[in-house]
Amino acid sequence: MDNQQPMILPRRTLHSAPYWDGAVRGELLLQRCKDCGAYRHPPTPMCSNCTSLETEWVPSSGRGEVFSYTIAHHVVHPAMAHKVPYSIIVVRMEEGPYIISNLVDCENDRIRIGMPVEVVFEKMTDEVSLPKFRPA
Amino acid sequence: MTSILNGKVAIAGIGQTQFSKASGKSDTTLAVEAIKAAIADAGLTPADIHGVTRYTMDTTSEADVIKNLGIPELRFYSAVEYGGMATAGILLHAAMAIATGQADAVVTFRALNGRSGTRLGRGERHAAPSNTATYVDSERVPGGAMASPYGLMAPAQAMAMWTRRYMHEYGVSDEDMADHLAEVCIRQRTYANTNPNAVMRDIPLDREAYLNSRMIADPLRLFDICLETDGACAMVLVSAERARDLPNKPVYIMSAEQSLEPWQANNFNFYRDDFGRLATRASSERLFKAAGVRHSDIDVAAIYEASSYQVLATLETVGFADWGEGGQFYKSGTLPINTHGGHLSEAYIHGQNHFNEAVRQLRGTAANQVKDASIALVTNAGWSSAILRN
Repeated sequence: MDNQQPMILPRRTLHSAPYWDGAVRGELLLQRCKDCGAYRHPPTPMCSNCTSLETEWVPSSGRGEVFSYTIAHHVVHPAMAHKVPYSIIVVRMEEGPYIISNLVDCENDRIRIGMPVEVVFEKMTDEVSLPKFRPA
Repeated sequence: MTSILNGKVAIAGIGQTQFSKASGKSDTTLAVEAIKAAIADAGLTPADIHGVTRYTMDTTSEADVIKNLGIPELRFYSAVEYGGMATAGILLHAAMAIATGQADAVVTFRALNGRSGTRLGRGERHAAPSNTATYVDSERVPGGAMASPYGLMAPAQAMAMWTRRYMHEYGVSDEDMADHLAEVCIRQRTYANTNPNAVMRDIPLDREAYLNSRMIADPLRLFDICLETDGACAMVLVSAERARDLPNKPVYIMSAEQSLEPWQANNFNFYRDDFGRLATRASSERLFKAAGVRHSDIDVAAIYEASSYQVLATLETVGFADWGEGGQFYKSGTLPINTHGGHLSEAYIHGQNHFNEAVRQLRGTAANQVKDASIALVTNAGWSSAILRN
């Protein structure tokens, strides 16, 4: 069910593959250090809290709050031409890490910093789903 | 204790090309034009140059520079990463090479067809347009795999989120923020209107036009965002001793600093609790201490701004104003800032037109000359800064 609209999708890397694989299954996964337990995102090979390379991927609660946002009015790429005006948000997850996403199921003028949100998944292709957020 | 660099190295020459939207020239043509002008301004010849420093983002290499200018041999060259964060970095590298005796005369430059070539404000530089799907894998924000699929592809959008977070933290309303930002945009445009080199020289800007301009990324409007420009700037640095025998009044480097903290470079400070601030104050504190001056000693400042918000936030990061009070400080007019019009209204040469302006101010030759200016600050958010004196 490839979308007919032009779109920009993440290519998996050695660091990020588990994150995007989880999203296809409808799971938001975060890296957690096996030694000190610190969560981190975006994916990195080393825990910056304790320099451990031992990492596990664990399900996030999927809940967080809007830390900042903008409403993009200007089309900066042809793939966004049919989307403006659209929200871009930074979510602070309950576990601590920050995730960049879009807020869905919410009018742009109702977005506020601090509003509680929860993850939903938007299927883009059979191989890619994007974690997005809606008001919780 | 001031830095061992303090007063040891001087800027002896500056050069630049015309600033335009369509140069019709290659990046390399622009680079060597500006460098040739800077070497001539210094009263030197290409054979006197032993070093080159540049941005990693430059498409013109030091190899290109020397084969065009006929510089016989380089004994030192380096390139500094992270776009505008290299603003004072290329100067610091050049100054260290001179202070250690590695090179006698070093050229610094930045050259880009920022409007007719690769546009930094566009998403195409991260993802080639396609009728179907384009895949991205970089870790950049904006632009990379964690950002582009969500439409976060331009610096203006990232800065809009900085601004929004800042407004939340300090309780600034949309109206008050627009008022603060308008002040920056209009004052810089007014400077540009009397600067013959400014791209926006003939186009005035008033509050009504500012407020009526379209939103690019809320809360930032069209005039809050920097220009995209074709052009180049260059400087020639030599030892202080040698500079005194050259034609121009030397502009001495008192101190210069680079700073890099996790998740700043290539990530625009996302993933940090202090997201709405640009940097911590540590680098700026080192900068002033190394120069042996106080904030009140600064006569004129050139503050890197990819958006108007950056001017206000930098005043706080660098320590001129308390956190949340950059707008009030700016409005006070205590410190002349971006007297060339800056990136908003003169040209966007990635920080280097700010250095050329600081040098003109300290030589006493600026279009909007600050009377008796003797100490100048050039900074990009405290990530990359220098204090200069005449």
